[in-house]
Amino acid sequence: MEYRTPPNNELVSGEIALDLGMLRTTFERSSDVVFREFQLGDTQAAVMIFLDGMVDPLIVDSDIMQPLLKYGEQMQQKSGVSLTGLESLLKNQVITASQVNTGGQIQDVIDHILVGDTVLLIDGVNKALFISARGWGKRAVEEPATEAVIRGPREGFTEDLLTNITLIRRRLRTPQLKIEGMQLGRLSKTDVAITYLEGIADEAVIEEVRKRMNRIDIDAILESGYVEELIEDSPFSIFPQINYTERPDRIVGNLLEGKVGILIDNTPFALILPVTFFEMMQASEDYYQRYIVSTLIRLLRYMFLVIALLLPSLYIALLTFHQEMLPTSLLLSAAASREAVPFPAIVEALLMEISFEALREAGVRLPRPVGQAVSIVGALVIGEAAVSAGIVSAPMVIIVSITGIASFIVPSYSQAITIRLLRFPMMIMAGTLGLYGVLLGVLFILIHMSRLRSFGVPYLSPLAPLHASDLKDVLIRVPWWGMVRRSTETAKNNPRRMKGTLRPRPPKRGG
Amino acid sequence: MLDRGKINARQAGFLMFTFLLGSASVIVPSSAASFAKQDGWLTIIFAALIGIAVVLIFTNLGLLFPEQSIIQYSEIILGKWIGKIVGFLYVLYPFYSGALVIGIFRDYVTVTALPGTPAIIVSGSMLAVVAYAIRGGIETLGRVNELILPFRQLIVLLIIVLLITDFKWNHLLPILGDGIVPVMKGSISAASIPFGETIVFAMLLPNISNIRKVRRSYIFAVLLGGLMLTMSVLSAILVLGPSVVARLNYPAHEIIKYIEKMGFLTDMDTLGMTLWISSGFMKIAIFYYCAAVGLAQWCRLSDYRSVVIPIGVLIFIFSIAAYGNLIEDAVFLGTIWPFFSFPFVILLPLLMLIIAKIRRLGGKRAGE
Repeated sequence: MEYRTPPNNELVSGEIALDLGMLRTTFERSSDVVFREFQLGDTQAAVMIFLDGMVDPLIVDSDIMQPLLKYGEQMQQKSGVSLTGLESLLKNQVITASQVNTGGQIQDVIDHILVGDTVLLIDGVNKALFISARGWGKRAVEEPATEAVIRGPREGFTEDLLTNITLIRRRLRTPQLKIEGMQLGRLSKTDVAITYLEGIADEAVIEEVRKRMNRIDIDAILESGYVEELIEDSPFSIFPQINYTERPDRIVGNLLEGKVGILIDNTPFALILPVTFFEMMQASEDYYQRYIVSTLIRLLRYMFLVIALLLPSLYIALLTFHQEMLPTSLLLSAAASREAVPFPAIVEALLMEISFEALREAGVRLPRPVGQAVSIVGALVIGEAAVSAGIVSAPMVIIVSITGIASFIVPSYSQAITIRLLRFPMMIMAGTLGLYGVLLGVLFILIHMSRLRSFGVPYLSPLAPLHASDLKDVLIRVPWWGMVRRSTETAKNNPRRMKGTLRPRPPKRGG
Repeated sequence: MLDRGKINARQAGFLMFTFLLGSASVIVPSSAASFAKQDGWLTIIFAALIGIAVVLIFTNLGLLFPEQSIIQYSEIILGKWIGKIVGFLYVLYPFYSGALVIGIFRDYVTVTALPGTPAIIVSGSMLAVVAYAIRGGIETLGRVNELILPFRQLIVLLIIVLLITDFKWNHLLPILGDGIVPVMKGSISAASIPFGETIVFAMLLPNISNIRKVRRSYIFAVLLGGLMLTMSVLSAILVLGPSVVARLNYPAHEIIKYIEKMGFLTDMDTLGMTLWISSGFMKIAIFYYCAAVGLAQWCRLSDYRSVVIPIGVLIFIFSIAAYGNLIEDAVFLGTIWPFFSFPFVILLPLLMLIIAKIRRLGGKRAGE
């Protein structure tokens, strides 16, 4: 059955029976809509409409219902209720809830009911009062599950947009922090907020974000992934061009670099853009730990990024085409362990890697206790049995395990899964053209990344194109007193972050 | 301008540096040593001086017409008909050189790393990746090169450091024992490949954002590229001796086999192959790009991307036809190519520069 929208521009008539009838038709078969009818004084019929479960009953009782009934009583004793200007009188003097608005259109009434406001209609008054007494079950602010840290704040975003905005606002107490609200989704009417620091973020980028967001016309936005795929630059690329995070401190750190955040109601994942490849290799903790440790950890990450992408294909290439490159003893032991294996290295590797991916996927989807059982059975038992049965060689198990661990070292999950997927074409290149094929594959990936842009920022900056001053925060992380300037690509307007003389020095001796 | 992408002078200089190392670091040591024996490394120094002259000629010419490529301003300088013919020569030159380089690398890879693989698979897959890069425009080439260059040069330096224990310094003696003539002969060969080939960068001038700085960064690129080439010739001669170097096809490749440290770092020559492929890749890409953009400009097309695939197929076929085998090519490059390329590299640009000066053409920005 086609849904019948109420006629546009229909006004609140002021005749309560008529308005109520229309609303009841609109909300028929919606058991969560509550129509609370009562009398204002002795004569004036009134009705309060709200969604059960989306309002806080305590606020409705104490801040709306009680003052209204008391007011009705008082008026009754004096001279009866006068209808002219009643709605502003109620708004200004009676109802104690903090946010009250008035409106005259039925469509407004419906919208306000649906977002969780309490709507008050009074017979004889052709205006409706929209009283905000929202309150629903929310998850508490918890430690984010996907971005755990050893050192750093333990707060993560929740599914509630306002809570998330608060978490950001508490970290940036400045009017420069702008939060532009909008609604996306014809049916879902999801609240979305574009947030940035005025004066730091590039106006052109913000305008581009607004433009791309306004293009979106879809039935519903259920997760930030919808928005990501609808606004990214190269929709056919395997690389993520927009970062996401659950951590308010991370998004604030990015806002300070001149980036733009997009918060979406009903999901704890906020989008960060524009983003570069190298930013996805950074964890928020890098900036909280001591800089030498962070630098070493970053180098480790890049090393294992290369391993995650290339180790199986290098192994295949060496075993298939370039055996002379292996040291003799290693070659002998590799050959000995492969003696019983019936497959060529490429088939063996593909077999193992695909089963590893399957194990990982099974572990994610299954309930936690079962998931552990699957990974133990899969990794230990099958791996061990496969080696002793002579189906795969022991070195291949080692290679696949190291590669698996390496792929989890990449902080951004979407980046990690990209690298893991790219491993497969690389393995096929290695199996067909050896090291030459691996090299062509790497060149192809680099060319592809060089062609990408995220909201105008080259994906491989600041390495290509080179911005020498930004190298302080790519492969290494300089101490905080060295981070004098913000990144060149996103914060051209306001590059200076701090005084240039913050390096602590011991006081001079003597005196 | 067909490719609206812009690179800065530094990126252009980096491109030229990689371009100079491209195929030359593989083949030049052998030809240098065959001409000048133990003085082979000196040939590069003279060749680099010729390279600087080439750069000066084409940048002086290009700066007169900063928003046009050599194919476009040749028509202004030489008139419509002769200009068209000269312009077409500058489409053919990178096309032919590109096919030659693809041929060199195809043989190099099949000989050293993939003996059982059909040669056309090697060149075809390489050209496919290059074509993808070229469709991304000059920006993509500049960025990829900028990204790879530091890592590649670090490994090259590491290789040279690891080879130091194998250097036998008396291989260099006697210095100039046969006089200067063989050095001069050798430097003519080295001047045509790679230094003369830099003429194709005349095609890229309109795409450079800070064009006034470009001459300096090109000269730096020639000097540094010359230095790196000198080092590669020098280390080949120091390790193997001039007579062996002259007889080998890929001496720079062979010397890596001499690295033997801790019983673990042995036979790394295939790794060396990946280094030269990554620079040769850029060289092929630049030739291919110049041929594609040049043809599009010559035909006055609105976009060069439509000719990328056809040019690639032609280069692929031509590289099979024109490039027979190693020996044939070594003779061709050593004896015929220097004279064949001389008009493209020096004669025509110099002529155009003189005519432009006499006719007082250019020097103004377009639209003024």
